[in-house]
Amino acid sequence: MNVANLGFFLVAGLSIVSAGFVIFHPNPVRSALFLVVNFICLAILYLTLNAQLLAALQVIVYAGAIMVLFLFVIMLLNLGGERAREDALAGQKFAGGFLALVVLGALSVGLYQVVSAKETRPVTDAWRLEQMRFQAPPGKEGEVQIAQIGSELFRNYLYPFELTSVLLLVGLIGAVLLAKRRLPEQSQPEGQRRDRP
Amino acid sequence: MSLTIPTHYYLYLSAILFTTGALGVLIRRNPIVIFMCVELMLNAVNLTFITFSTQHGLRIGAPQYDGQIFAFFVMVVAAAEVAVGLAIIVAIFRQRHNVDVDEVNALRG
Amino acid sequence: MDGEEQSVVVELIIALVKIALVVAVIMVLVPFLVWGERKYVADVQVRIGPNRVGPFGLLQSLADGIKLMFKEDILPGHVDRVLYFLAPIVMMIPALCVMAVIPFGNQITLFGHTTRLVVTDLPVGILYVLALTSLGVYGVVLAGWASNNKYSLLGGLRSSAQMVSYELPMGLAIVAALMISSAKGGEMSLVSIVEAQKDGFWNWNFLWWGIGFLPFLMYWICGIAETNRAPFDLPEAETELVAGYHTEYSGMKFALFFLAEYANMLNVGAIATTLFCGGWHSPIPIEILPKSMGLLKALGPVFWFSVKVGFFIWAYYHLRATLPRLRYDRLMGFAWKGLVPLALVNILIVATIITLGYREKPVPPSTSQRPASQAVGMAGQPGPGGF
Repeated sequence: MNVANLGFFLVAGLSIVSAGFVIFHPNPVRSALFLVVNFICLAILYLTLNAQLLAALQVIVYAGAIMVLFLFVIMLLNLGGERAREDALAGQKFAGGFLALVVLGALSVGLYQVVSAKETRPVTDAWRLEQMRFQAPPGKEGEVQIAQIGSELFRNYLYPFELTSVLLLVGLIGAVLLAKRRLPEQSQPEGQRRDRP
Repeated sequence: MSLTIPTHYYLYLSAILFTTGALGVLIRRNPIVIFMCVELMLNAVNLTFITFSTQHGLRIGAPQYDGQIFAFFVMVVAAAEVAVGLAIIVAIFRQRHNVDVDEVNALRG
Repeated sequence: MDGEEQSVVVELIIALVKIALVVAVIMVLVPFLVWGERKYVADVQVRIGPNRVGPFGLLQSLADGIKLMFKEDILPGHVDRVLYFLAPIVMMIPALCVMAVIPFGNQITLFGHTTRLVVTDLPVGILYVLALTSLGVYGVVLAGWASNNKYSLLGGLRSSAQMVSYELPMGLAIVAALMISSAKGGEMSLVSIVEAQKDGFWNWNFLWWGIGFLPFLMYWICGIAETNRAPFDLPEAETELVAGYHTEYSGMKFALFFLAEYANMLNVGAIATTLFCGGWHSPIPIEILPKSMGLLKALGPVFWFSVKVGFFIWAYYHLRATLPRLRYDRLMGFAWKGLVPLALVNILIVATIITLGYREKPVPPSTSQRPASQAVGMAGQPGPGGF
């Protein structure tokens, strides 16, 4: 157990706990906030994996935009907790828990076989973590990385990149269309707010 | 003192988070929370992508960014999905003032 | 303690001093900013403004602060306690953290240690700024939700929609700024962006080919919207929503919201200065002071930086004093139908100019551009080192 592992376990533990709260907390607003905590933990882990751009994007896109949208809708609809009543499917929670255990078991067994098959290499040579000991990072790592990801994106992945832009456009139009008020007599100017995706 | 973290820690964490998300999808009835659980699963997958990306880069000695670009695409798709999904939830709520997934069983509005 | 460890300790001390300096300056400045705003708005409205406490009422804000601090800490019975306490903190932390990457001066040499006047020069500084500003919205949303009050909830709803909407054109304006800056040899760290704008005001980004003014203006408008200031102050519109998201807040918690708002104003001004107005550079590159006045000379850039940020603060005051509040649908329409398409077109134009072969001047790679940041600027990063 070294310092890096300790830090990893702290952040990973926090992310698992917050993920647990996301699915078990009855209040959707709290769930959303715990999910934000989870996303920020993941952003920190991306930093330890030397993925600075993705860490920043994780915070900007997920925490800054997507989760705010979630909160907006929860507050707009003023959704409370779920009403306590009988499940429509008997034993749904039990079956769900069982299936989740099966999935986790399968993933763990698969992982364990890979891990035990050959010695894993440490993923981070952790100069990022050594930076905690105040050593200058080697050069301008982050910028070089962004430039390389950019050129990769616009060369090898140009076609999927353009496709995602079409996807976003479709999503935008779809969201506007779906959230629009249908009845003409109800279409008031304040519908503007809901036109946003 | 070596400051390294083994790869499989990240992968186990990813597996746990993915399972948590899947469990949430299975046991919750509030569609917004279900959506959040889907986001959780997508993020777990992103973590795997980025871990393998870094791992691969270390193994061949030059940084590789394909995994990170995949994670980037996952984020874009997630954003589009959330926009449409939340719009559907708002539309359903406007129809019947209740968004429990068990009770939304009609395809017509 | 060998030499290497000693230098590490020195770097740590320098970093801590810089952090303390930045936080202290913000905290001391805010009361005077409030006083200045009240005086200025009063002047525009042909009133006198605060004039009782201290000379010209200068200590008025201090008195207000003391009052807020000693006020009873009221906890309304119907609030969501945890989130109610958390909201002002969540609002304050990103506001202070953004300041960490903003360069407020050139290098300075004190007691034989040369250091750059920025807490940390992250290689992806501008992304860090975007990430933290996007977190700022949570304070408002949480306050609105936790207060469990219709006015607050409406304020929170409005601000969540408004801030997400205006983040988009802001990001696009910053993209244009980065493109302009990269054409001049700058990179994503804020120090390099400032250094790419040296040698006179005609090199500042907002004057770039006459098109740089557009992203500058867009950034500024979006910055006002992000800080929830007039004319975009709908989340706290007092004529409609009492006080919006902070209706239920009083005492020190209210003071925190206030502090965060002014710290955010300073941030927006400082980032606009850094990205578009040459940062710490003086408008005309003339060396007035002789080399012998080393320390005073080193403080010149700080002076210019402060003057520029001060201009933006003045613009905040003036806009508040002169413009009426927008209607809500106009506000959203302006962002989505006006600013976003304009920003996209702007990026297209900038990209076209750059692609057609425009380069400011040939920049020798990494010798003239960032001599000091590699030597000292990035070494003293406290904490996990960020990006």
